[in-house]
Amino acid sequence: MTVLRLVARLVPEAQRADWLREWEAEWRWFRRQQPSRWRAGRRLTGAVAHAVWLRRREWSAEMILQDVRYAVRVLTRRPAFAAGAVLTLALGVGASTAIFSIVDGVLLQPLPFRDAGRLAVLQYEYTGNGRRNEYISIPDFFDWRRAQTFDGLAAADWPLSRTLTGAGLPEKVTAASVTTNFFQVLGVEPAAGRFFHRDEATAGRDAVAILSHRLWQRRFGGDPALIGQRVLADGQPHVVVGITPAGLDLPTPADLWLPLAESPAGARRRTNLLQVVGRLAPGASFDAARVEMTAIARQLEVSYPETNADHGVAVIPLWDAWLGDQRPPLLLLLGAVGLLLVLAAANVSNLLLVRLVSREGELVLRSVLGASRVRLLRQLAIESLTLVSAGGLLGVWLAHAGMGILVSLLPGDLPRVEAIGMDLRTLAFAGATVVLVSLSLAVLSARRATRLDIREAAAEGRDPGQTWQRSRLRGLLVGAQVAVATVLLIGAALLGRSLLALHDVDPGFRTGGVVSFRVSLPDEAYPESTDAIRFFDRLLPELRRLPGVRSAELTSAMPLSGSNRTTSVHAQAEDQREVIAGFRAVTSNYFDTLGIPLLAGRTFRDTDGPQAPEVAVVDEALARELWPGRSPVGQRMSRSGPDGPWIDVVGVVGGVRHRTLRQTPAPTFYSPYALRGWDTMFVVMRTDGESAPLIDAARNRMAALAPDLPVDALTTLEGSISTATASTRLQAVLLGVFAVVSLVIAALGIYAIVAYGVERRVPEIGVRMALGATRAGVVRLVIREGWPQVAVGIGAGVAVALAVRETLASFLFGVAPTDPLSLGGVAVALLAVAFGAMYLPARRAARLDAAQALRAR
Amino acid sequence: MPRRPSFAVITVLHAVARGLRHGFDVIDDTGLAGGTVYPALSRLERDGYLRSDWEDAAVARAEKRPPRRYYRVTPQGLRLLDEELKRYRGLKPVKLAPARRRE
Repeated sequence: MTVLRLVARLVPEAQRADWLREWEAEWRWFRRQQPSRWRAGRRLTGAVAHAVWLRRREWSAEMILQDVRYAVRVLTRRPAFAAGAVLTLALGVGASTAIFSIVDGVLLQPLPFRDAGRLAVLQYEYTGNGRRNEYISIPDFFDWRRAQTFDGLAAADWPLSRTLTGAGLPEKVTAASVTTNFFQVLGVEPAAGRFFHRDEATAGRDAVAILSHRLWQRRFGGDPALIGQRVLADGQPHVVVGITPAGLDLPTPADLWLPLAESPAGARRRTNLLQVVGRLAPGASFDAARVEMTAIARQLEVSYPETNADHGVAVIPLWDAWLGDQRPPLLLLLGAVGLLLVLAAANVSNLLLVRLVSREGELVLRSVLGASRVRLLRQLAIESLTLVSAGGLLGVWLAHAGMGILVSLLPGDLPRVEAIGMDLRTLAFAGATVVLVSLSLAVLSARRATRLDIREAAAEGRDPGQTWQRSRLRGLLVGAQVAVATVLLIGAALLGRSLLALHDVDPGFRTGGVVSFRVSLPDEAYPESTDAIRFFDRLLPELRRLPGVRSAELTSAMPLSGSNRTTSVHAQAEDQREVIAGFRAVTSNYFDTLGIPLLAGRTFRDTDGPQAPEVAVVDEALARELWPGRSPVGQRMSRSGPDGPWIDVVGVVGGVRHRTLRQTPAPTFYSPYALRGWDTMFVVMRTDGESAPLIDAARNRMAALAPDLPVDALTTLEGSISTATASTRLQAVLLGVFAVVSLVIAALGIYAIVAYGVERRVPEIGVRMALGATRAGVVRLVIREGWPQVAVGIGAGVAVALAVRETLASFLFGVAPTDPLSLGGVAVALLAVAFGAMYLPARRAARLDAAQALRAR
Repeated sequence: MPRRPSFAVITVLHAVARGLRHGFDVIDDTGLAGGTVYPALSRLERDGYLRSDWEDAAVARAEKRPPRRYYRVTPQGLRLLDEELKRYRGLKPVKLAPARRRE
């Protein structure tokens, strides 16, 4: 009955034969009754319904639940194996999820601006040396605004600092003075109120302010009635007109925003203060903008040759300027962790395959008892899925728990840290990872299982040819695992040595026993520079009197703080050299306090004040650039152009690493504080003993002298060093963890493949032993199977490490990417671990009883 | 059975108990559709209330047709049938309330 045969296709394989037999028999008997067409049709419909019912039952929730229960039973029968697999997967999924959330928050999530791809940062680009300067002078900025290729150019004077008083404790906040179109150019909407109006840039109407969402929530409880109220910043009242949107990440984050005057008096073309962003006009491209800005820069060069010579303009897409630096290390991390995940999955797959071999008997039995091939495959797939789900859940939990620690390890200047978290995108990533891994595992086990020609395997023996073929694939897998472990270990070793080298770097100053904090004097109470000088003249002796304090001095910027005011400096000499140099205002004993060596001449004296001719102290780097081969002592330099007024150089000090530990000291000169009288200075104190009690004592003294001035940026210099090495430390730690985990995984993989080989060759080993092979001989035989992959893997890993040495070099410090000590050490370590992993199953093989082995299976 | 068997399933079981041993006979006698009877038979067999076998080959050959499958009730099946029938008998006849006239 062809119709019945067709319908039989619907019936699950194991029941098909019987079903067809029954229905055909019934049908033949039925036909004898000569039923009507209608009756016959109805009866056939019943056949279809029955077949469909049987098919659906195979896939009913009940059956699948049965499979799941069975899977759990199977896994718990060998808890060590299940635990190993779950843990491996958890590490892989957890690590990749955690790293993904960081990469996502910092790099992948779109910037919170409208059409962020049209935003650009504009910087000086000096045509002489190609160096860039992100700070632009105010008059230049207003001239740049002529550009047609930009819809709007905005600028920010940042960072500033203001003290909020009034409602609540005095609180120092980071502030920024911005052009009135700043937020419009960026393309954001206020969370409440509005942004600045154009006329609020003029004096008299600029007593307005915008607060950050964070500050609004924290200090004012998110009260919408705040709009229109006054707040006091440095004692000056400002009307709050708006609140920035929540979660606004900016390259210039601030809690308080003030309007920048349109044409501030006294703005010099030489003083670089502003950071500039712009939005491309519709239809304009970055290239067109560059062409136009270069033309404008050239016009300015012609109009103002003393200040704007060699000043080109760089137009950099906002994303590149802000986040571009972060891309390589983060992507490297993501790549490393992706590899780890692949390793973990491959390893679990290997483990599953080893287990499958010992379960062949069970599978054969189930097949004989009526389980269809589909059913068996489904069973294996569910086992994989269970393992991976358990591993995935544990991994996500690990990622969540470790997220806090991870974020705290991140370098402090990593942008958009607030966007990092276990949000939906991260969970989706984890879920996708789990699905991908379980699919691959399921496919791999299924292929293995279907190649088990089950009925034949029950009857005959095994085909040795098949063993060799599939061993190759697995051998390749192990070789790859070893290679990856090698690469990671080499990276970790090199980074570790970089870290040690960084610690050994001489920063140029003494780090132990120095404490510093920042003091900002508000304009209102200290309008003149003489007021500031007078304040510090009172403060410093008081601080010096504190017990344990050897000296207390001032500086306008701390080393390793990254901040560096720069200006161009001319030497009074025939060659008229000019250099861009950083400068600091310091008090007389500053160099001694920080242990900066005096190399020639003298440091400042108390007589170097406003009444005496202006003097300066330069550092080695500046001396080398302005007066190569000569002593700078007695020379003269100018910071106001090639025609003076001239400053006498009275001394040379050692270079100090002002920005990072990796960069050699940049040219810097020092000015006596008494000449400047700036209102924001850092106090540095050197102490004989512990720094911690000094911090409290200093705070109390400050409270007594000036209760409205909070003590801020309180830190020890050791703390700054620690921060400076933070990112390298993080990379080294992370890579180290990955490397160790990958080593464990590779070891497991080696063990698995060798163990698998042993299982398959048990009869062969039995024969050899019966023919007189010694135990040592068996061990040698087994280990010989695993060596090629290990050796090739290590070789491949070293080759890869050498191939990417350029990229590696950018992360390293003080050690070459081809460092033989690191490479050799890693190779030796891997060989040792590999040997250990191979030895265990080899030893088990050697212990086999020959007779038993021959009888196996 | 995990949940209480449906009336159709009990009907099928009852039919087999009465001596209707082949699937098509149960269909003809109970008037239930093939798509109801056969799943019921499969379920009852899976749960141990019925047992099935193929009829004697000699008998089939004599009638010039392939052997049919026949079903038998197990003791367990009889117990189930007993319980369920008791339950159904426990349903007392109900007199409908007289229809009310619409005003």
